[in-house]
Amino acid sequence: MSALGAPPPELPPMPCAVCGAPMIATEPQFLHQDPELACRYCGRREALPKDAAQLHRHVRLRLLQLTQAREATEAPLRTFKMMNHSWPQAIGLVALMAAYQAWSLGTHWSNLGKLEPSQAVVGFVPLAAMFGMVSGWLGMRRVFSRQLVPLLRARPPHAPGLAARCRTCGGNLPPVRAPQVSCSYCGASNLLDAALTANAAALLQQEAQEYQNRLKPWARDATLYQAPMRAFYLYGAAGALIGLLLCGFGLVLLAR
Amino acid sequence: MTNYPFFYLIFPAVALGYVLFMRSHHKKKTQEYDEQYANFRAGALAQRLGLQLLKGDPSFNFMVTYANQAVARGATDDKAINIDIEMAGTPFGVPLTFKYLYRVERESGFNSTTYKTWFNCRMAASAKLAFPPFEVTSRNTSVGRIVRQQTLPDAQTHNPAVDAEFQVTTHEPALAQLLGELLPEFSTFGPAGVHLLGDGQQVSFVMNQSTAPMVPSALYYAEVMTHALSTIAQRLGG
Repeated sequence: MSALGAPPPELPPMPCAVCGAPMIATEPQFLHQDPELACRYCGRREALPKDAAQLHRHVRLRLLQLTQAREATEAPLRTFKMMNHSWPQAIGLVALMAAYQAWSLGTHWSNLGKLEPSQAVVGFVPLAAMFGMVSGWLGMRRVFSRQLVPLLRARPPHAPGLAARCRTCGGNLPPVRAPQVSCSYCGASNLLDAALTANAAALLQQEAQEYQNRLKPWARDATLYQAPMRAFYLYGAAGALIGLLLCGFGLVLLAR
Repeated sequence: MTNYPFFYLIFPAVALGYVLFMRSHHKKKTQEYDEQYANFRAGALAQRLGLQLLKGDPSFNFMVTYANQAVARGATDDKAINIDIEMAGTPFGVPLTFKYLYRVERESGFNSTTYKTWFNCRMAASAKLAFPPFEVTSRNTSVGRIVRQQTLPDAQTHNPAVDAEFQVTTHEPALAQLLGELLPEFSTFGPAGVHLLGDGQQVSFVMNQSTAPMVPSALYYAEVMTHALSTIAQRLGG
């Protein structure tokens, strides 16, 4: 058995008082509404007892809070996704500008036989920007796949044959064959990759360890989802600097 | 005329086209956002929260205020902006009201233009019995410190997590201790900020236009707000 213990027991059946068929609790649309028990066969509906309705609301409130906290924490991911999709075109455009500047610089140099430092700087800036954009984009993707993909992955099933669980609320995920699935309880998007089945035991162990770690305040990082954007700026600046150095070095070699 | 280069004629036309395009793009985007956040229109919000809209335009969107024609047009000397919305109900067994007032008047003088702005937005739960006044503010928000409205002494709730996140002020230590049990529900608001005002009969969540807690970020947690305020009012005043 895993470190997380046995799966929670299922609720007892709720037979209909008229036809004896199993009744289901209807899902109220809003938090202030109380759920009802409904029979799909004879159509009987009855209100849940007050304490059960309160418990139901308590659970829905908890799920709502969890969903809102997740959406707030993961908001930087929207910027990452937008940049990840649009950046190749932007890089292409800057590459064209850089190529034109380099060609213009080379033509100017070969015609006049000399090059002013200010002209070299003007020629190098687009090249450095292109290097910076490429390295920033690659760095951002690397940090996303290394640091955030494990956080977006669904939790493994408690035992083989059971459903995978939502990474946010722990609810059972619907059985689908897709790279990702949305939780029907809290709406979180869960990645389903090979690691989920190949390393299920290790992931369960890791999950238990993660709960332990969350008890330590220093282990929490509220800005973790901003890591790809931080990486973009860091790698971008480093790439631009390296690009400038390479251009300068190339120029010195050519001048000789 | 013939001496002017070709682009001298083209540039103004391109600039005008760009301005027109941006205006139409902005209008389209506003409509898109209004649809996207349709559940924050006054009518829809009232339904979500189990309240009844007593006053105001049901299509006014609290998330996208500039989708409202009066707000988008701005105040003129003849016509002020006046958004006055009120909703009330008892979704969790406690009387709850939500009020939103935004009024801007403009007066143009010979060499100056004066704008007068009124803004008040709060959700309030009424308690059956009177209770000592208190005020709760988040210590950290994403848009700076929250300005307190009452001069009350600091009090410890004896809940370290709550004391670290919120500043509680009241004369009554027992009330602070009770708030220590109830305030964890407001942790959901996080950097959006919390500003609770207990005036002795009502517990209000105060929202602002440009300082924390701002209306859109606070109303994002509207359901939690109604539930948490009702719980506090019930526990404080029966």
